[in-house]
Amino acid sequence: MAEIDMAVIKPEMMKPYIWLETSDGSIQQVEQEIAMYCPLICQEIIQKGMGSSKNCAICLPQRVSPSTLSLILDYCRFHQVPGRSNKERKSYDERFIRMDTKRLCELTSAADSLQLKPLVDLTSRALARIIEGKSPEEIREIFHLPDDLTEEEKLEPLKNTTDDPRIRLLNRLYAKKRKELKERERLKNVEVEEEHVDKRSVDDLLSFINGNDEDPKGIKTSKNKKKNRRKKEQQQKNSSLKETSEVNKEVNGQNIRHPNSEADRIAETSISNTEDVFAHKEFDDGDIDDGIDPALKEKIDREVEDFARRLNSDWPERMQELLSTGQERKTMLFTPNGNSFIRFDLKAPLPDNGLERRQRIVSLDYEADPDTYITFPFPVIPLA
Amino acid sequence: MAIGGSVLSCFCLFPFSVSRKDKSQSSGRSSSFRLSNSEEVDRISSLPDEVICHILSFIPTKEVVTTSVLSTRWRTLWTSVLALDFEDNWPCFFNTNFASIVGSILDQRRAKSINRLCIHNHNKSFSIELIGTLVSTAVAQNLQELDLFCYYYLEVTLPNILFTCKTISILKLSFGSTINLNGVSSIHLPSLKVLHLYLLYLADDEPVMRFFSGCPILEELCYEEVKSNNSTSFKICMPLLKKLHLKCHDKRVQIVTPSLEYLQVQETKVCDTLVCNLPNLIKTHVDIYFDKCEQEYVSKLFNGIHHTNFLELSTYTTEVLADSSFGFPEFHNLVHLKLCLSTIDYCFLIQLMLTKCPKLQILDIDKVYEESAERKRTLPTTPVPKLS
Repeated sequence: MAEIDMAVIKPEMMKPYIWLETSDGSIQQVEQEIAMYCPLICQEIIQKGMGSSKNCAICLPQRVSPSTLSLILDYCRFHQVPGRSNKERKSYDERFIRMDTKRLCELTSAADSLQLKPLVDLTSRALARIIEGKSPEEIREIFHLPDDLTEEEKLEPLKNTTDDPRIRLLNRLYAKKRKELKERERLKNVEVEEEHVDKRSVDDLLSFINGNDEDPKGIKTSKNKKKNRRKKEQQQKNSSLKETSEVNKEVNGQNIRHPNSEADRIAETSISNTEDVFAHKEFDDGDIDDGIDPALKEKIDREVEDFARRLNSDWPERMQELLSTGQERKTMLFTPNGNSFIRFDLKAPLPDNGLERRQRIVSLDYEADPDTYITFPFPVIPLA
Repeated sequence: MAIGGSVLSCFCLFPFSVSRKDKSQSSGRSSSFRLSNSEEVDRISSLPDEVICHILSFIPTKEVVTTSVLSTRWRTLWTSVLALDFEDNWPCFFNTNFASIVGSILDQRRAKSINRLCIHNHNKSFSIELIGTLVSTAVAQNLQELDLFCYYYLEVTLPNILFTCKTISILKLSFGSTINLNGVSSIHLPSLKVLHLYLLYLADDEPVMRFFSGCPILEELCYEEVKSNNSTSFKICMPLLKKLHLKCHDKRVQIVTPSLEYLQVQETKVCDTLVCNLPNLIKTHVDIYFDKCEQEYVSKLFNGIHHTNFLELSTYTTEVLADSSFGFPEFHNLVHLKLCLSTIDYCFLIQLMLTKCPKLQILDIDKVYEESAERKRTLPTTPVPKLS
């Protein structure tokens, strides 16, 4: 009799239990007050009346595995007791959160699916502490992220938010110019292919980073000023490019797409003349001798001027030339000659090299497909 | 941090990479893509976007932006992070261009709101105008938490829109210089719960009074090292305030906060009715100084805090108390008492306190200038042991 009494009395004295079913199909019993700490479970019980028996067990979201569920229930079991001090809760949390990152991620995922916000906060902060201060390589290592971005994507202007914004603007303008020229190329379709070897000198791109304090609106400045400035630029470039010359070599070597010997030669000379900085000044329309549509050219010129105006005052005028001449599809050597310049095509012999001659190779690679434009090998990769 | 310093040393530090998509390679992808050994599965990327953005919201913005190179999944996640946290470590080549970097980040963000804006700046990277712009932008985008910890300015003026923001709930200001609140016509912060004012100078106290009265539901106030030219007395009268941390040397402060649960008073001049009755007080840290003639003020202070459960008295306080013959009220709730003592004789004081604390369970004594520090001794609840 006593046993029967016990059997009868016992269920009433027991705390109410809830049945939970995890993603693998296993069903377990959990004290109701602990399970109710999770808003999702609470909702299921109250609104839908589920969980009171094995048959209508509450189906937990797929992201909650049995091991994660036990962790979550431990957490709930501790925190749902109202009498604990903040200090106790904090120290419990700190001990609780000590687990490997894999389980931490799973826990975050499960807590999020159960809408258990305090636990999501706790695990998120723990993950944030892990991520903070690490380089991308380290983060990939820790979380086993696939390194599936192309080098180019890593260098995209998007990343330039951590870098000089003028690089980004420059990239945009280059992209625009390229598009325009591609269109023209398609329309015209008469250009000599091998003359499309273009290569942008990295020095120039780097140089403006180094803070040349040039007047950017120098399209129409006087020759004297230009000469002085050129000298100054040269000195600045000399001092600033020594370290990067090696990398330049590598870059220039890689960026030559066409095995044109002339281009190679020019590339070589550009490398050897890294100190030489070209400062192209005027761009007379009268010097145009190829089939470039002057109207389009003017339009592009105007855009370039606009661009220069919009930029900071220390935008070196060299960059401006770069942009305005970037549309040319020939490899060009510019020799400053008063207000004008002389362009050579590749077949022509190089002009005699005076000590003061500066040369620069402007090249844009129109031959290759759109994604191979040369972006700046700048340290736009996120910093360690 | 190298700001505008050696540009080329920055170049050398960072990894270089030439963008070149060689068609002969297999789609230019790097070969470190590992596959499904179950130990090496990428779990964090399977978290939903909101969760990853939540994780990233605890990290400084500079590092958040750099997560965009982790993998394709992460490429644009940073644009949805709701927090902006600018610390001092931005490698700006030119200080003046930092504004455009910040602008470009704001441009590229896809999220429509800024929950948290935090600027910790100790140099010239941020101009006041930039801070003002950022604050205005954030306020217009449902800002909830603002944390400005910026030094290096002579005078700071914050945009007026900040002081009528409906959504802000945490506001922390610390400038180390004068903040100009005179142009602010009205202060109304209906959601503000936490206010920290640290190391500020004000022209006078009146804007502060307006500030306090404009925060009806304030729960936590930290008022430290705020100096003003006119040192008058002012009143902190907040019905819902739960936590108060007060440190002001030169003012006379009155505290009228009936709901207060946590009080920390440091280096504050005791004055009349410093503290009104605080029935809900749980923890109190007292670090005050007073002259012998101000004893009655001190007794009023202790009367106000005598409901507390935990009391800590600093060395300054205990020194002065030990000197004087002081009438303590009875601390009928006090369970844990912590006394920081220096070298003088405290027997009398300790005995006095023990007699006034019937429910005392834990007595913490920190002796500052001696080698051995006598730590916790748990006392029995009922009898107060006599000290020999």
